[in-house]
Amino acid sequence: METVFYISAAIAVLSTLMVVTRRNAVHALLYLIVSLLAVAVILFVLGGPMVAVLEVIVYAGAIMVLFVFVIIVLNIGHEAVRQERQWLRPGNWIGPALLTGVLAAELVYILAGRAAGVASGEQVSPAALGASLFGPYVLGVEMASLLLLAALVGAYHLGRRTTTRQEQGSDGIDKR
Amino acid sequence: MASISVESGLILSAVLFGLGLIGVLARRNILFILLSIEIMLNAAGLAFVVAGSAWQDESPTVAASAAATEPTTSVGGYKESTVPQADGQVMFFFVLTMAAAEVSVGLALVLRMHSQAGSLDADALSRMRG
Repeated sequence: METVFYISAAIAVLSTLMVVTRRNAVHALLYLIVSLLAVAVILFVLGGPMVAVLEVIVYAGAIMVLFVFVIIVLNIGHEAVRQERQWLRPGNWIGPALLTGVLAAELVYILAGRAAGVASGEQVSPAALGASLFGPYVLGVEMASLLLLAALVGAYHLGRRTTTRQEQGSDGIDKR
Repeated sequence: MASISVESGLILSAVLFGLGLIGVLARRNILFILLSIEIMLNAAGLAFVVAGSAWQDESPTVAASAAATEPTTSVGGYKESTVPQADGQVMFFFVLTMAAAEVSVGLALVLRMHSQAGSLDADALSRMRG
């Protein structure tokens, strides 16, 4: 499991370096997804299968989908078609694909070799994590729900004013 | 069982955090700044999990002494045996929630900035000084 940790750490650092240095936002997103998957493997090795799953679902799934949506919204028009033809060249996606292939090989190694291998400490089961979340940390969970509600209302407010102002200037000011 | 030292995990977390900080400082596209903030938050959460798994190694003695001193209630004993193991991952959970909230508001601001300023350059908003 040590080698799995170090290979995943190298992939995470390499892909994060590629994220910071890319010029194209979609290329950076591809590398960031690879980086988050590598961090998920590291979390699994460190004994947190539940947080590894959450990392894949929430970070690499939901948050990256939000970024993709924003990039889609910002690139309306002929430029998008030209850029899409440019983005689909093999030189752009072969790097993230290779790094993801290494991560997939690690996953196969973990599943085939040692099913419950943990590199350091003990494995925290989802039941223990849930018991801790709804035991002494229940106030924090409530505060997290309030934070998410505030983010929902704030994002809705900002997005709504943007659309109304784009459609009609005076109408947006009246509604405000 | 092979063990990963705490230092290597924390060094990895620090390197990822530093890369994110470089991204925030060097890039001027606001979308890349948000991506770099995500990298930094993720590195902080990784540091929490690493520290949690390191602290876990010493926790069985604490849990055993707590169970030895107070073995009466089963609920208390259950809490004492499960609570010290999941603290770092609970903090990772909170960091994850905070990152989701932050990125939703941040991307709404990016859309609004694109509709008003017409570009994603962070320097385009420098008229607000003074």
